[in-house]
Amino acid sequence: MTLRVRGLTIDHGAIRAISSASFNVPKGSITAVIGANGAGKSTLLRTISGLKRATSGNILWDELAIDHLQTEQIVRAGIVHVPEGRSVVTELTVSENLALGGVWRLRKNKADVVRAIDEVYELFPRLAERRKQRADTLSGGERQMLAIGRGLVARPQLLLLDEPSLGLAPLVVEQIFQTLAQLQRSTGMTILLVEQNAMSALRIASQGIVLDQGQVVIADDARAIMNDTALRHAYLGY
Amino acid sequence: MNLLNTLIAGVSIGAIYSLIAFALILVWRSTRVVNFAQAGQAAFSTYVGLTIEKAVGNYWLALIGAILAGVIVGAFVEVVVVRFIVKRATSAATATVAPVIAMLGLLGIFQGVMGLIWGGEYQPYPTAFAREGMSIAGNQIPFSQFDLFVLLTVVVAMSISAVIFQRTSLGLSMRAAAFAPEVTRLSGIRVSRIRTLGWAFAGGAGGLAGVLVAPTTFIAPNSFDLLLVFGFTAAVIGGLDSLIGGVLGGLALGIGLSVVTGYLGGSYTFMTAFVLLIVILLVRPQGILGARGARRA
Repeated sequence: MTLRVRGLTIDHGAIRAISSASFNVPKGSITAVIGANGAGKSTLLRTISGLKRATSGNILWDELAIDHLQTEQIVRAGIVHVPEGRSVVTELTVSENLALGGVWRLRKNKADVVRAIDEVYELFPRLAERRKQRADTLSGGERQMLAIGRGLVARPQLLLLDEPSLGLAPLVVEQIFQTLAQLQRSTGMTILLVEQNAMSALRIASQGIVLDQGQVVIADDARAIMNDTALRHAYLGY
Repeated sequence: MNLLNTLIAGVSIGAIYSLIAFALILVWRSTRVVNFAQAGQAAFSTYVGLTIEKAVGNYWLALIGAILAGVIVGAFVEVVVVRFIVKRATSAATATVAPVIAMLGLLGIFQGVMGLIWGGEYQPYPTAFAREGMSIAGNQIPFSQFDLFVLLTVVVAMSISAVIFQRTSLGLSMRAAAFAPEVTRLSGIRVSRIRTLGWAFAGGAGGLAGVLVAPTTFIAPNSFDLLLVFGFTAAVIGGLDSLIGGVLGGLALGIGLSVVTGYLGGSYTFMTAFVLLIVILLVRPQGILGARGARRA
């Protein structure tokens, strides 16, 4: 399944967050959306997952127009959003947070939900050690793993990840990104990754999209973006 | 009057405060609305019970009918009124004030409708159990078979709720939606449906509380207004976010007020509840079992 964004414009009250953006997220890719703080990256993901409505434009998931669907329906269509800020339910335990990701398909396929939870524990063994602990006792990195894990229990075809590196130590970021790359290879899942940490994101991505003040300025091969010094200086600041 | 007797006398009314606190907390957690209309909802449900009782003469059928009426009325209030008020509140100030005013207005509407249907006068509500204090080793204690029934019913209701909340996926969804609605939606759960269920659940608890308290207070359109104040005080004692806290708060309040009534006289009871409410809000606004420190986003 390919996600196609066509002429998408999103307003935040009086402020235009995204103006007329068009790009594709090909099946099986890791696509990194990069750009400075305030470039509209989070707003873009929130609109794809149905938390926010676009002012105009279309979002197509293969043939299905998802821009007017409810978040719950978008999850059922296979698109799962892990928002920024290590979003877990802090009042629930690790295992309850993971179970939450599978509640919507429990009646359809309980066995697979159980399997998906076990796979998350294999992927992030530190979560397995802490499964009975409340999520607010976890470290920042563990919380991010849990947030991603909750998303994975839904068995997404497209995973939307918002700033998974935010506020984490470089070593932890490295570990999470390597796990994501490995996960993508083994499952064939598509990942749309929004990041301020352009270098780490582009290293595991196949495709890069650079946002500047709400506009798509570049959509290209990730390696080509990394090797283009002038472009990096202009938009990515390194 | 010895202390032990005074303490015992407060247990069953405390259990009823617990039920009301439970209903208020459930609604507060799911929608951030303090449901002042709960008193009206509970009275309405109790009138439905009384009507069934008069028609078929079966206490148990009336009890079940009142609980079901509470469930339906609770869901109705959420779907028809609360959902739109919460959605339309655009600023933080209106989001705080609008539901409060709306719920007070709704309480008035409930009381008006009840007056039209059932009249304004106090009516007795029957019970299936003796109301005289039981005797233990020749001594009569201020605890009747009816009090025992009330206590056991509340314990059973709370145990069932605890199992639902802690052991089922519905309970998991309800807890998650209460604390992190956005993450819950992103997990594919229909949070609006979960909210309606929360109000329905709370309405049922209110209906049960109404039937349990009505033999003592009698039933009139406004006869549960005081119960609401006590239930709210219990909820605040427990910290508005903790169901267990609210239940314990109800028991503590029932027993505490019984001591006040026993030693100082009945005219101090109502005032004490308010003084307690204000002192707790001043000294420990997060309640006895409420979250320590500020909640994280």
